[in-house]
Amino acid sequence: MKQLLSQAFNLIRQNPFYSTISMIGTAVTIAFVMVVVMIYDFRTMDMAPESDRSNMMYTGPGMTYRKQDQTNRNSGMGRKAFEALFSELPGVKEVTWYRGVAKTPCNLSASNEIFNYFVRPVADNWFKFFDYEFIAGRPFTQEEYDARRWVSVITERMALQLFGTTDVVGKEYQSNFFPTKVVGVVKDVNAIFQTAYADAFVPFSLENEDYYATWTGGLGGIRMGLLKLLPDTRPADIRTEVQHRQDRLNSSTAEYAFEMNELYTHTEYTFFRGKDISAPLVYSMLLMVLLIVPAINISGMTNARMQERVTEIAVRKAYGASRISIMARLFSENLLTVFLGGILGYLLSCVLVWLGRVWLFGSGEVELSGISLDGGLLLHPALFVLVFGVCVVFNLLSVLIPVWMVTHRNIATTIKGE
Amino acid sequence: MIKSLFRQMWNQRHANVWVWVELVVVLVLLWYSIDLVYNYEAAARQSKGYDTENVFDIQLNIKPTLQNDSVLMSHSAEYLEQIYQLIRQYQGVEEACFYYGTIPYTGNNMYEGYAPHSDSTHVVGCFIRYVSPAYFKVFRLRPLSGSFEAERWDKNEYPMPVLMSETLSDSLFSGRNGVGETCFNPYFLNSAQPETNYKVMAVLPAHKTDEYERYEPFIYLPSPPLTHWHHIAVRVASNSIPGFTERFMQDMQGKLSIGPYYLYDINSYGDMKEAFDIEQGTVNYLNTTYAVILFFVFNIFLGMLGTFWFRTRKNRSEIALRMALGCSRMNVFGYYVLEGVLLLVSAAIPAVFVCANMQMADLTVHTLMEPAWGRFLFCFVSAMLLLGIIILFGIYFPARKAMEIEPADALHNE
Repeated sequence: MKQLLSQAFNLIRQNPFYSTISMIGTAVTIAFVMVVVMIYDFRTMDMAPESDRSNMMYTGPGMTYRKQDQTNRNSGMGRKAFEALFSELPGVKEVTWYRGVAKTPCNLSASNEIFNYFVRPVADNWFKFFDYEFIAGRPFTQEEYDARRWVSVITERMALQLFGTTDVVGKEYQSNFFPTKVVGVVKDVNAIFQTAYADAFVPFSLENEDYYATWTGGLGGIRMGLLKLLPDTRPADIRTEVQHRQDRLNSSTAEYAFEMNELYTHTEYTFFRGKDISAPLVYSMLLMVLLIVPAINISGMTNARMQERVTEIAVRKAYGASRISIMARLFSENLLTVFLGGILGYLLSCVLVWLGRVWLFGSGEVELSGISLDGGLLLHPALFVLVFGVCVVFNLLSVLIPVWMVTHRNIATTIKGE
Repeated sequence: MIKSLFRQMWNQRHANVWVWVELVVVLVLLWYSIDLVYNYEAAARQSKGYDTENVFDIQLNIKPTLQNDSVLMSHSAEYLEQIYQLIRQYQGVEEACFYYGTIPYTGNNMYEGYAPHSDSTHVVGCFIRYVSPAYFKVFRLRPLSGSFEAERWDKNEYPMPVLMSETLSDSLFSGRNGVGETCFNPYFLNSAQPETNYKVMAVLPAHKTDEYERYEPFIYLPSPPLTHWHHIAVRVASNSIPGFTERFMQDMQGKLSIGPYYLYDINSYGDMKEAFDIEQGTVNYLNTTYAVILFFVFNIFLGMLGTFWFRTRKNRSEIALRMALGCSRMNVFGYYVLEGVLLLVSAAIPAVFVCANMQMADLTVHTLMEPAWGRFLFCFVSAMLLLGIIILFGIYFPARKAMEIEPADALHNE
């Protein structure tokens, strides 16, 4: 091992030009690959507050229409339809619902200055469904929710901007000109979390939900549903059961029918929503393309360099080294360059993702300035394992063919120098 | 010379094959990327039909706690008039108007069908804007034919005057000029006012909802008086643009709180476009493609640099011999360059086949621009030019090194 390392270092020193080029090439490759991996990872990994992304399913908006002539189509799901379709589904651990964020004017009654914040109306179990970190206070209670009290949970950022302190539990502000009491303060939610993100959360019960249900036979409304599946439930089973329940619901209604057209898993909901493109497929194709082109590149150079080492290899072979052992040796020698490049590339990828964070992650209803990438995201251990994996794969791709070619040359002619 | 160059390239095929294969692959990928960029950028360079530069969007809202106060609401028209005048007179505002319906860069669209009286079955769906007369000044619209008469722009005129985009006018009244033609809205046939009658006052250039869209039919109708759900648009003098939003918010938030109304938001259309493009994912597609193009180009640069660097080192004595036999330094340089160009051209032959087949198999992205052969040619040649430049860059350093070989030294070492 020690000998191998020292030889590898010697090779780098002897061939500074080749080593620099292949290290830069590797670094840039790893950087790009890691950017793709990170985007996918940040968007799909289980991370607080969205700690159960892999088990989550999202409802589409749903729609209602008049049965008789299929007219009067309105999008939106109301309480009646939601409960008929999603309450106590087998295989589902928890169900919650919410309404999309709305930019809402907020101010202190003593001050004339109004700020617009993203406010999300959420169900009573929202803070159990997601893992928010409370720095003060508590979620709103069932009693507050049912009694339709104007209470809210706000983020640290909003508390600081509005009140100048986070010690605000029990204080009041005006949310859309209604006096609203702060019951809890949570740590800021990164805008990368499309669903858990908001500046303030208020009880969904405050929304005038029934109003939307009046002209749709009680079926329409403004709910967006979220399901948390038990670990071994398949999304397909849920879809079948929901379809089944929907048929039953529609056969019992008089004038209107409800249709939940889409149920997404987290990955489907996040990438290419509503389009028939598989995100893992697109991403793995992108990765392949990003790996293969530079691999041809490095292969070419490795091949050129191997030409200078054919005698050394022939001598090793003459002394009884097997083809496999020589291949393994050359492979591990190269691995050092790749790892050095890999570390550089990883750092570069962090910089790239950070610089491009707004356009890389800015989709859905979020405040673009709320997108941040801190150490916790960029330095989590799974990423290092991935960098290592990518390095090994890249190394394999880039030296396999030249090394195979050089170990298959005839010893006798090589040593003779033909 | 070319012939001997080919022979030489063939003799060095073991070294060249790697970079040749890479060139083929990259050329195909590069063409595809450039074609994708073309789809968006060419569309973005077409005129949107109305000019949003230096225009700001102002939104009012109503305090929900006060909106059922009947005493207050009975004066709502006066309050709104006061607010509107204050906005118009604000320092830096050149022109103000209000409108609702299809609002650019918000995703708020209003869409209805219209049919000409000459053929009531021919309904064309289109985007709608209800606008005040000043709209056409604020957004700098000039009719292609007909002329806009502000004093007749009133929803109580009969027939009601409308303006149409060229796309709508052409599809409703194909072959005719459009101005003076009448149409109606079939949706109202079952309503309380079944009769609608619209008369085209002028035809406007083709419109689209935002830059990254195709041209769609648009219709303009006279707006009812200002309400709190109208969008107010103001054109601002270019010297007042910097910091306008902040200044306006600071100065006017207190002043515009009149009756139940308050100033909800102000944004420049430029900022709205930026946020909208990011949210739609367009910026992501484009920047990703640019990054990938840069990545491939950089790889080609490294590949060329590496391959030819090794060649210089390996063929040192050969080059020296050439020089000794009367080949000038520029000739040596030219030889390298020509070899690079020939490599690219020979890689282009299989690449163009692959690309043409991809185009014919409908694998390209052509959501905004049609997949024409002119576009193919443009994108493929661009890809080749880009690669050509990078190849020259990559070859430059090793070629310089080869030029600097001293024949005497090199041959002596041998």
